[in-house]
Amino acid sequence: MPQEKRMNRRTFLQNTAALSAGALVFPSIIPATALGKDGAVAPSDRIVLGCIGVGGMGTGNMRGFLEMDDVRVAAVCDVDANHLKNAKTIVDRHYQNKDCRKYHDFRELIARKDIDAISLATPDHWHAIPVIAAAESGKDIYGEKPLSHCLAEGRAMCDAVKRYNRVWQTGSWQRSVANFRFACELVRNGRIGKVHTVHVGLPSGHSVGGTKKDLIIQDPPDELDYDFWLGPAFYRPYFPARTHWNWRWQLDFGGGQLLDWVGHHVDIAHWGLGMDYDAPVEVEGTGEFPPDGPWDSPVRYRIHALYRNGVRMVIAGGYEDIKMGSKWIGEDGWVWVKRGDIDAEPKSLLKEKFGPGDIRIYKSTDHHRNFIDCVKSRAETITPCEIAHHSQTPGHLGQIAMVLGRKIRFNPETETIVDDLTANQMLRTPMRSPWHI
Amino acid sequence: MEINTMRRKWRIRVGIAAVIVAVLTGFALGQAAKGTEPASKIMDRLESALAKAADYDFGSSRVCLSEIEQIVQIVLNSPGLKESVEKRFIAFLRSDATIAGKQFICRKLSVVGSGASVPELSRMLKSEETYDMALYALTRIPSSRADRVLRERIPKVSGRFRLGLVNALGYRRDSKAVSLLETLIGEDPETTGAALSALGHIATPEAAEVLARVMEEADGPVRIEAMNAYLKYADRLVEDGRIEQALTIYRRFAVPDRVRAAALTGMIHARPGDARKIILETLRGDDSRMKTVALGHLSRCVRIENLKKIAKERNRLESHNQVQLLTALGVRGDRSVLPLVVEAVESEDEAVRVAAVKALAFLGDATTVDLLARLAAGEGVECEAARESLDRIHGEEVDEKIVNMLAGSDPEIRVELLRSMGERVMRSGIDTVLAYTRNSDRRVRVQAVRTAGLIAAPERLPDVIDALVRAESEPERQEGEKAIVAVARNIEDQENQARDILAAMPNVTVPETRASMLHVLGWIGDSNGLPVVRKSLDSDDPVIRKAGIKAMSDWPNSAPMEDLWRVAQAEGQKVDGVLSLRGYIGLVRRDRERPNEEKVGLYRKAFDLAKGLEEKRLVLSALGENRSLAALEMAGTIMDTPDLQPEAEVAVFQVARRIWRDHPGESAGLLEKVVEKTDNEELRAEAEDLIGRIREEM
Repeated sequence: MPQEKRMNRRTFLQNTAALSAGALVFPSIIPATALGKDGAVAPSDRIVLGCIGVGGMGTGNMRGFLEMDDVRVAAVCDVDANHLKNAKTIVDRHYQNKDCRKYHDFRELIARKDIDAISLATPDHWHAIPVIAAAESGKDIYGEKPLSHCLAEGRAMCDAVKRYNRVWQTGSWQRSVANFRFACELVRNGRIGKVHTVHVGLPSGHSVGGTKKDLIIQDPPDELDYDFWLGPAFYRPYFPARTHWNWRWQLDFGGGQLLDWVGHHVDIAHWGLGMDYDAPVEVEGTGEFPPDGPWDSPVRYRIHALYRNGVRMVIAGGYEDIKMGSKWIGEDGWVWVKRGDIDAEPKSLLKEKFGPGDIRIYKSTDHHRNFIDCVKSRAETITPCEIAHHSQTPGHLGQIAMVLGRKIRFNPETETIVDDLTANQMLRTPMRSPWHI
Repeated sequence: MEINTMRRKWRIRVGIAAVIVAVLTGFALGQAAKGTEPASKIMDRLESALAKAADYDFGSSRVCLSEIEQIVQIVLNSPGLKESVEKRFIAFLRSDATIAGKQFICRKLSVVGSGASVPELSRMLKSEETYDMALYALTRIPSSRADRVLRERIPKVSGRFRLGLVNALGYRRDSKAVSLLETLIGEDPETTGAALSALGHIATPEAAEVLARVMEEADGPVRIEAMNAYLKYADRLVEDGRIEQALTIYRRFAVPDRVRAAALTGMIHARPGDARKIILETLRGDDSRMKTVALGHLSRCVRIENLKKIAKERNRLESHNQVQLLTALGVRGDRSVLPLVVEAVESEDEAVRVAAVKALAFLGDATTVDLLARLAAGEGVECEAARESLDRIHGEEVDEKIVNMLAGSDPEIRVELLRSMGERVMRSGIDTVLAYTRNSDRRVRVQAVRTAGLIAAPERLPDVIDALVRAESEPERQEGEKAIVAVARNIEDQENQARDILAAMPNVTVPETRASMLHVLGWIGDSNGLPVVRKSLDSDDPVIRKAGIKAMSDWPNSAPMEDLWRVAQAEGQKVDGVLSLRGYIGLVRRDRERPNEEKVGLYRKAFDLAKGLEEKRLVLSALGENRSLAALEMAGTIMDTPDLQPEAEVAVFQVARRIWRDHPGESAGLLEKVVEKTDNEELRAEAEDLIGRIREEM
């Protein structure tokens, strides 16, 4: 029986997502009133949204959704009462009422049947648990990058989103910006010939916010439920710079500059290569970890990844030869792109125009809008969960290779590291009781 | 979440120092990793580091921990040392070392530990203080002794201590834990949920049997949790190739909706070859929600061929499902359904019509050009979608059809066809397009010029210039200017980009057209054009003089700066003088080559010359971008001018934010003045924050 043959992850992806990734999707808007609940669209004219994690980024996303007439932000959730109060004020002021509900515990927000979708912007160690719970509850999800805190959590999130047919948009918003799309179309259409190497430049060091006194261990403030904030992560005593913003420099909660940024520039690199669903087969890397101080993520790093088609990717932070952004190097030239800038060789590529005979990739000009449109049409967003997972994978593998100090070989189909028990153990981080996925 | 775009109130500069220390450490590690360090020396280093780690507490120096991390990395690449290091770690855990030190060692044991570590970790499970760290290590250590310890401990504990053990067994996929976990179902909701989830992860037939029983017997949330876990098991069966067993499970699910939807998803993934049949059956049923799920798969599942049967179901579907169907048909790009999609363009439902038109972008061909052009020229809701589809439909014959249609079409449709020729980059159609720049209808002429700007090669620039010369109205001239600039900029030699324009100018007598050509020279900025622009400043015709000033103001470098200054000085408050001064300020502002201090000197000149408040405000706005002490001081002095105080305060803040690290005293001093004087509450708060930050660092 042909169907009885083993269906590995690659086969599955080829059977499903690859089609929509290659196609240009124009989500069509359906009047939301026409859709029933588990068709996942609101019973009213609007998509009802709950926002979990309303610090800086979460509030920014929330403001984006507030601007849309067909979205209603109905609830906000945070373990910091100050964040919560601020977010409710913004929402209530916008709608000129006092209807926005505050939640301390994301499970209560997710349990609300009238909420269609959530916007999630919690620290990385708090991504997988609420995402899986939201997917199981039938919510669509706009989730911040990096997708996951470790590779296994990313896989579990993708499986849940797939299993429950949820619409997912990752906050990798560079895909909705014209110069990134143009650069990728140049590469996809062979304007630089066959690509053999990609350079991905990311920031180095730690962009630390706060003052020295914020590093002094002390009791958590009353407004913060610190134990809930730690959640599945190991206990560590509180100091103010432990949490908001600076969590990303601590590997228990984030992944340093490397993981913070792979979801942008590796994501774009994959997009240009047409390898949204691919992952490297060999990864090695060196990292310089701070030997002292509160932060333990690498301050300088260089990762070399090899893909099965022979493409080599160098991901680096703190090396002058790898410029910030994504650079594809082909047999006939190169293209480099970052926020607000693009360059190419030959220069004439920068004036290139594409006609209908050229490959045109998915076009979105508004990342938040693209999510809402797809919630209504059930079409694939520009950055679905599976793509974000694959964008993240070289970062996770690079981190493991750096810590182990050796080359690792990866099987993209089974998502396991080949012949390396220790490295495989590091694909997943145990969670502090009672949390689990 | 990207880091550079977030607003930060304060920051500590530790990155550079950390990099330096890390580089040095990295060097030392490199030496050891090369295997040049004898084992005895490594163990000595470990002893020394562990002795210090025994006193480590949260918040104190991590240097000893970093040393241990380096040694662990060496050990992981030199297996001979692993056993000795593990023994030392176990001894450390038995010692009276600090809790923080033990937590760190447990993390390391989770990657270097073996069954030998299990007894000590098991002992630590019994203490509330060391439970989490021991469980962390036990969860990862690849030894059946760890499984046994976890199982044996479960009956002896409760609450979060039991939950952690249950979760760990699920994480480890311990098949021997199934019966134990079954006994926990029905206890408190958290324990029941954890046990069901663990069984879903374990995913053996025995675990599945337990889950199936719970599904039969339980109700409410417990039943749903069991279903979710059971679906995980079915998904794993599909991955393992045991499709029939998986299908049996998927078929069992009837309620609730979301689980049923997941089951339908599972069935399609399990048998992608049957996807068409499953989708058809679902569409012919009467469950609108499941239709939504099925149609979601239609756009994603590769192995669906012959879509006609599915497409023919459209009329039976509700409007929103029709939209989904048409969107999916478009994504799939199977042109056999084209007639059915064209039929949908006639639908009475607005949303369905738009979806059909959008789908034509992928399915359309030469036969749909007429339809799309008509819709694009119309006023219906489909108009924008029709334009986009017309621009994207594939095929040589499509281009040919567009050109052929031009001659016999109404002006409105002709405009759309010409517009699309530009978007489709139909360079071979340039002669046709240029011919339409002479059309009797102004709308057609304007669009033809616009399209020429998009597709004309540099050698056709004289033809595009000719279109401008013939222009009869301001909109035509404006389009002509843009088109000429677009084409001229494609000339490789930048010093030759104005050549054709300069050649054409002597024959141009209409002032408005000459003015347009001067504008073009300004945007291009070819130095060969500058003498002509200069000469225009001496013209008696105000239209030409104004065009010359505009051209100089738009110049891409500072070459005409002195010319503008002379006019500004000579003409003062007259229109030419004011426009020249504004242009001058703009050129200084955009000059990337000039040092900041020198720019401030020029701003000072402009500020002193300006009579109007608008020009003075323009200077303040430019000052705010300047990164120099001179800019700060100039903005600071203007704060005393009542009419300009608000703008000057903002400029002071903007400059201070850029230079305070180099000039903390001066920045803080003027910021305090802002705080004291300003009526702008937001600015005051920002300034106070910045003052606080400066004082922290001073």
